[in-house]
Amino acid sequence: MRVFLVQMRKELREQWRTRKMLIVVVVLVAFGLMSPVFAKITPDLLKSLGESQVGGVQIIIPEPTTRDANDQFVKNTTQFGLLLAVLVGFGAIVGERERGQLALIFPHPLPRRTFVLAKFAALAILFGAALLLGAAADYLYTVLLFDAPPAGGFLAMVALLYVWLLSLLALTLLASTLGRNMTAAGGIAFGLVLLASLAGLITRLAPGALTEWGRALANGGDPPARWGALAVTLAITGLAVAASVLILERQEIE
Amino acid sequence: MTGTAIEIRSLTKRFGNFTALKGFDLTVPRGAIFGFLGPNGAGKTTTLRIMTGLARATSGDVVIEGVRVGSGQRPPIGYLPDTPSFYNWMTAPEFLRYIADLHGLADPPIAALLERVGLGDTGKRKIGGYSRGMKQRLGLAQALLPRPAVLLLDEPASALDPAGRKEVLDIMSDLRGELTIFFSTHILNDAERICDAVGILHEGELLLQARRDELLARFAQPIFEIDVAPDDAPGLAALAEQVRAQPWAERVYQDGARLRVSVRDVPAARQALLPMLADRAVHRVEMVGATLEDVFLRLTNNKTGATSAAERVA
Ligand SMILES: Nc1ncnc2c1ncn2[C@@H]1O[C@H](COP(=O)(O)OP(=O)(O)OP(=O)(O)O)[C@@H](O)[C@H]1O
Ligand SMILES: [Mg+2]
Repeated sequence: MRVFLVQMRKELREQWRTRKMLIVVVVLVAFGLMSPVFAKITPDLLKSLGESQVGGVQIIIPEPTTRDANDQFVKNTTQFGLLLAVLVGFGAIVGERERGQLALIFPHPLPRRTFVLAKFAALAILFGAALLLGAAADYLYTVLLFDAPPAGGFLAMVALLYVWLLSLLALTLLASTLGRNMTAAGGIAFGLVLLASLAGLITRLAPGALTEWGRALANGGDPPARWGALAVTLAITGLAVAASVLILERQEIE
Repeated sequence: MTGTAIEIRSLTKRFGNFTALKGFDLTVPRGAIFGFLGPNGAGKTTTLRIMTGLARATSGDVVIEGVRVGSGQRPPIGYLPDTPSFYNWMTAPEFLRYIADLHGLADPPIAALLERVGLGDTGKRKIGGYSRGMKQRLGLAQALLPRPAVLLLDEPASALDPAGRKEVLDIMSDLRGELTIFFSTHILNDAERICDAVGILHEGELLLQARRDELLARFAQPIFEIDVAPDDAPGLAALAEQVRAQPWAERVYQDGARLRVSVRDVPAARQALLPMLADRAVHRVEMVGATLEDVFLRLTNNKTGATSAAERVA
């Protein structure tokens, strides 16, 4: 446990010093802020476009509501969350191996299992904090521009988005362990994440179902629960992290 | 300090079809400075990677201070890879603090250690801006920090300029008696300067292991060193050919304006050699003892010769 904390401190400091922390927080907070704003101005934008069309068809655009703000938030956070998870995570392990840093630190008393778990924990903390801040910004602007979403539903949405993000981080970390070099790891990471997203098209058990569920909850409906998807997503996360540990423990470090 | 620090038993490592280490044995006494010599590709780094647990042996064992590598227990080692790579965003004290924390050291002597390796005044400079030599010295510091019983160094001085090389060798030499040092090198001069004992590895086989003085005595073969004027150096090749043909000459090396001739029969050599030099601009002729380099070249050349002869037969 002591070594885990030492290692996690190193990871968090690295995120801070290499600006990864700043980037993830700024992007997720920015999209949190902008989501309700987009929802508010989109109809006006469409209208202004419509008016510029001579003899155009009359388009009826409904007044935007809290629901549109929620939709925007889920759409933006999933898109940019996915992108950030892969971009920030894919080099986490392969980079240190390729640069030779692992050859320097593994002969010290740092179990490879602890190394992987600390990497995952530090990424989970970063994305958790950034998601919370982004959600707070979104909530604030939604309240200012529309009506407040149901608090319970909104919180449930944030929690489900987080679980979904964790599975992407775990898959990216697995790719970072598997890849022989940065390019390969990046390819595998996008492949795995894409696969997880595409699985949503054929089964309701895929991680993507969680984001839909969360959105419906924040909109105040009573959607069908997706416990199966929740269990599958948590299992993917756990298995991907465990696989990373087992693979790294068997790898020879150059 | 008596006993055995490192015990290697029939160490084998295969990469696919290629056998990098061919099942050699090696013993390093406690407290020794041990030079692990071998040309490029001999298997030195591979051996060290197995000793540190970074790679696994195909078969065979490594035991360091009574702890078998790979047994789950960690032997008391410090390791410096051939090109240490740090976290560029850290400063040297930060990196050493991190390593000390991994070991759970309460009050690590970071400042004193940085002073010892000549990095006492780097202050808040990030490691990213360090020169190759500074990184090598910081690498030595991180290996020494947990006060290991055995220090494993992969080519610690090979990539450095003469001044940097001397500094690193001096630090190693100062550590004599405090711990066991096992270091690989292909620079014989370095080994000769500080080693108590050496092992010579060639194509994954240990050709020989001995105390350095025993080794030089065993292979002691009188050597004539002939220095000519630099502008006479081109003509030296012809002389080398001429000497090589003599029955009393064992081997002949030319190094610029210097010729080294190891001889089987000193009186015959003395009689024949001096007349051959008559019309050369000779600066110096001297009979000297064998160096590690002579031993090394003799062993590894014989080896290569033997292999190619065998191949010819086959
Ligand atoms: N991961 C690997 N896969 C395949 N072959 C390898 C691997 N690592 C080393 N080898 C081969 O094993 C042999 C020994 O390599 P090693 O790096 O141990 O030599 P070395 O004595 O350290 O040489 P140098 O003086 O160049 O550092 C070489 O022929 C090398 O090509
Ligand atoms: Mg090497």
